[in-house]
Amino acid sequence: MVDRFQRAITVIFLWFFAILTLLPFFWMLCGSFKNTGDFLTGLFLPQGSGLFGVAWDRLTWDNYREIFTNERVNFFHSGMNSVFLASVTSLLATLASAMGGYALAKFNFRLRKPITALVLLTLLIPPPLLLAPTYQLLYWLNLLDTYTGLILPAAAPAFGVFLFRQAILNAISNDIIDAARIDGCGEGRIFFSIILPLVRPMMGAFLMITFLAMWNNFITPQVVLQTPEKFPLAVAIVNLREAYNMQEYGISTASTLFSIAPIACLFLLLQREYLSGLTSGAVKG
Amino acid sequence: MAQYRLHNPLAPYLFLSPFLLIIGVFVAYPLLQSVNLAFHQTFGPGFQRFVYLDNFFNLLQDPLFWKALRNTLTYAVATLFIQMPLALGLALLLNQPWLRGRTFLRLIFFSPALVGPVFVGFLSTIVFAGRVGLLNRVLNGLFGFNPDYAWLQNHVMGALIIAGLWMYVGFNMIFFLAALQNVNSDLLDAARIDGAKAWQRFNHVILPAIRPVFGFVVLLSLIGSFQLFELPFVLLNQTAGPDYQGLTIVMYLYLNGFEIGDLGYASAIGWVLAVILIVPTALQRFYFGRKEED
Amino acid sequence: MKSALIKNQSVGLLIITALAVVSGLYGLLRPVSESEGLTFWRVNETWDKEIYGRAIDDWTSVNDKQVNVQVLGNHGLWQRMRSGFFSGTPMADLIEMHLEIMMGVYNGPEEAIGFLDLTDLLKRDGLLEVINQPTLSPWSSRGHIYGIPVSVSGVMLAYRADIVEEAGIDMEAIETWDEFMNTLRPLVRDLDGDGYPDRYLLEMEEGSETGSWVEMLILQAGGRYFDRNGKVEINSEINARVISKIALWGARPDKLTVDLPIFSLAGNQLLIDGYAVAWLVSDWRTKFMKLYLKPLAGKVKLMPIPAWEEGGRRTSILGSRMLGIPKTGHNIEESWDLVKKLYLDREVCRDRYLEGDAITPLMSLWDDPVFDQPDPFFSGQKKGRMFIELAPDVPEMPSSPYNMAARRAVAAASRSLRAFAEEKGITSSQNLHSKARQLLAAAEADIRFRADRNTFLRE
Repeated sequence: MVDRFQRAITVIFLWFFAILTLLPFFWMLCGSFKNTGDFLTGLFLPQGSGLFGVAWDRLTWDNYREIFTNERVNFFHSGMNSVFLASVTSLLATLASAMGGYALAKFNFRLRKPITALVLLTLLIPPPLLLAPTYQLLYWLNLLDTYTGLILPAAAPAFGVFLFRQAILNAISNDIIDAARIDGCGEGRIFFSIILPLVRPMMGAFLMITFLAMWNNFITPQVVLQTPEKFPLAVAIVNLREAYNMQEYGISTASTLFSIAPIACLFLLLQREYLSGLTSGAVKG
Repeated sequence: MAQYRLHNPLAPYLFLSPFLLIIGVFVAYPLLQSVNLAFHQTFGPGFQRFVYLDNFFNLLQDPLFWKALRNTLTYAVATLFIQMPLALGLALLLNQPWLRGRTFLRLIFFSPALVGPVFVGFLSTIVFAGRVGLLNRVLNGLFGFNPDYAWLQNHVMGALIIAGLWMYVGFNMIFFLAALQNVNSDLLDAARIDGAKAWQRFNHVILPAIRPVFGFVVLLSLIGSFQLFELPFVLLNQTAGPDYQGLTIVMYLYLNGFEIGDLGYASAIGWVLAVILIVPTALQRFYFGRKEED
Repeated sequence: MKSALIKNQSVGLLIITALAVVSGLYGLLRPVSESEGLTFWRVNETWDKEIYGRAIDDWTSVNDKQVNVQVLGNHGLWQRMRSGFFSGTPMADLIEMHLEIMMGVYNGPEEAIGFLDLTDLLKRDGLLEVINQPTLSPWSSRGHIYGIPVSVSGVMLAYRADIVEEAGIDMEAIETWDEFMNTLRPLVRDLDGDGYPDRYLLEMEEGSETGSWVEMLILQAGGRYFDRNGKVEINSEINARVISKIALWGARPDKLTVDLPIFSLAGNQLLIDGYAVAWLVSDWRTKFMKLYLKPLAGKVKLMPIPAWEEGGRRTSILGSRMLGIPKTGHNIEESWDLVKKLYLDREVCRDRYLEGDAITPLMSLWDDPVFDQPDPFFSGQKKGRMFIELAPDVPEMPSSPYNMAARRAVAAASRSLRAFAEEKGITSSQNLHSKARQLLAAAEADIRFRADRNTFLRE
């Protein structure tokens, strides 16, 4: 009896929190379809005489139309920029990490220990420390205001090498590799047709991790990029606020929603791999 | 360990070459240069002047730096003491086998972690606005809270902590949930049969099993908290807020390096941050390192 | 074979590769806008697009040159400018921007100031003497003028004529701040009975980050944060007197001033609802009132700011926008010609007043009848003339890269002082004075520390 009561309390408590967590999303969704006047008066959907007491006819697409057609901050362009930056970076980073991790996990060579130590040491550096010197370096290399200057430094994260090293160490037996070598397989072929398929979950997870990190990255593109046409969403959205003097709540919510929707879709597709990959570093022993 | 002699001796270096090249150019070199910069005052990357150790001496006397440090610490501590118990509590509740819709709830709680701090910061300007903001409306509806309360003028840190909660509780919960899979259920059943109370079971069975992950999550969130930047920066419209209430270490680094143009001072701040973080980071990595031996 | 290859790959890999290809193609195929002629970066205003459009069309047709206008936000502009000055990323030929940004330009060595010194050009064209001198002060550093201001930037007090007249108060009779507060005091009240007052006398910055309201009142009183050589001078008798008063105005329980998020959606509504009886407004800011406070048309009036003492100054300065020419400009003469067209041309200045309410700082144009037109928004007052009459009294605002920091520091001091007054129940400004000096001394030490740290400004 007590048990059932406790369970009911738990369920109510959890769903209360879940609703609280989702509230900002729902509020944003409603806000993005409202005009400014309705935003001021109602918390969610405008009240009226329509179905469920909602004034459906007062809802509007204008906010979305505005952010896609605004000549200064075009969200469609920025969205494409974000997709490009995030996808290219995550592909390169995943490839480089998998290669590096494989080498450190399954080869025996003289510099193996020092390089492994280097990977671990690199993980100790807080990224903000490198911000100023990297800016100066990109200035010298003439890479300011280019995507190269943004993608290259992120294309081989030590964290990824470390994760792949762990995954390959744990998941792949040496015998398979040796057998392939005896069969006359080249090293490249072994990597692409044996190793990569076997670490598929880690690949999916790490692609998602780097994609997400690059998508949500603000400080580096903010510092490196100058031309508004090149801005990814994270930088564009901050500029958007200036473009409207912070008056347009509907546009703010619509642009935020548009900026997080692609990530949400990708996540829904990859969530299982992503979540297990994310926690693998902490949990796997 | 077995010795492999079958492969080409150059193969591992080829596999490692992209990584080594990039680390060399974009990590090792900037790291050395950041030491060099810390002894200079610059105006943009072009003008620089050698100032001996002045950057560090100034930093020690700089009230804004201490303010930034204090703010960052406040956020980190609040995060630790509010977020961790909440995340663990949620994980424990969600781990109940009889609970329906666990996967769904897990996704819901995790979802805010997908939204980058920039976007949360951007959204938060309206969430925390007086009168029209979501928070004040909800608080007003629930508790009759003053609907005009200006969070972003009076209590920036409160707003940051609330936004941080929304973003990261679910994120940390995921780690705890994963750790809870390691809890020996036979042991738990045995304890229950022996009449152990819930908190006793938690203390003696669950906690020991998840302790390593707990340490990992604490350190991870500590390191993350110390690098807080985007959330307050965007929330406060690219400023530190009234009375520098939202100034954090990394924001001070950014403002000095990229608003004022003094890359030297920024590097000095970066080094102080690195020194502060080296202890927990090393602990975390040591933990990592210990795990992979077996 | 092929299907096996695909089957062996992760879904994520396929999706992300597809995304990379699509977005890459999109980026390649997107038309790149290459521009010829002058590039002009300007800050965002929604309402003056047409004025600029007409002026630029005019100029292009005469000069047979293209002008490529790019509109940027404050921070976006500063970022690009900074990057251009610092790192040589592409720069505009002409830049229009707000004061907040300009102060950062003075930060480095003098040779690193990216803007062209306009003093000689102004002298050559006989313009130096006919510009209202105090208006130039924030745009000058170390004796050089780096920009032309768009407006005279004087300040007046806007008040709710409807509320005041209903209460039978004669605003003409009010000359000083003390009189203002004492006469209007009965208007503060809780109209809807919810326990929170919803009418205050003056909109005053109490928590906002910029600190420009406090600075405005300090400059009006004859105080300042920096002397002409840029030396810090925050802890002064006069500054202490002003912030003591401001602190008392804002202190509970007899709170007379209120901080509204002015010109934000919520703040506008509160102003319309009569939360504040009066607020400070500059010539160019009256346009914002017309844009955002439409329901107040005909209900507000302007008057010179009450003075700090009888016979004292009744206006102040609120830095606006300027036009400057980067040193790297391709054709300085052309840019200068465009500057004169945009900011100093009679027709354009007239339009800018009619459509944007900004009054040109060029004294030779002040005879224009357009400034004598009654303004229906301000109950038929001759707003332009009123601002022009005050223009010679506009105080100087010495420029310093630490000006913004000084503003914030003094605003913070005034906030602390208010909290102190509330806590100790102090109601007279004499009794706050020593605490005020103490807080200002701390603010001064803070700003001096920062200024002294800058070795580039030391010579």
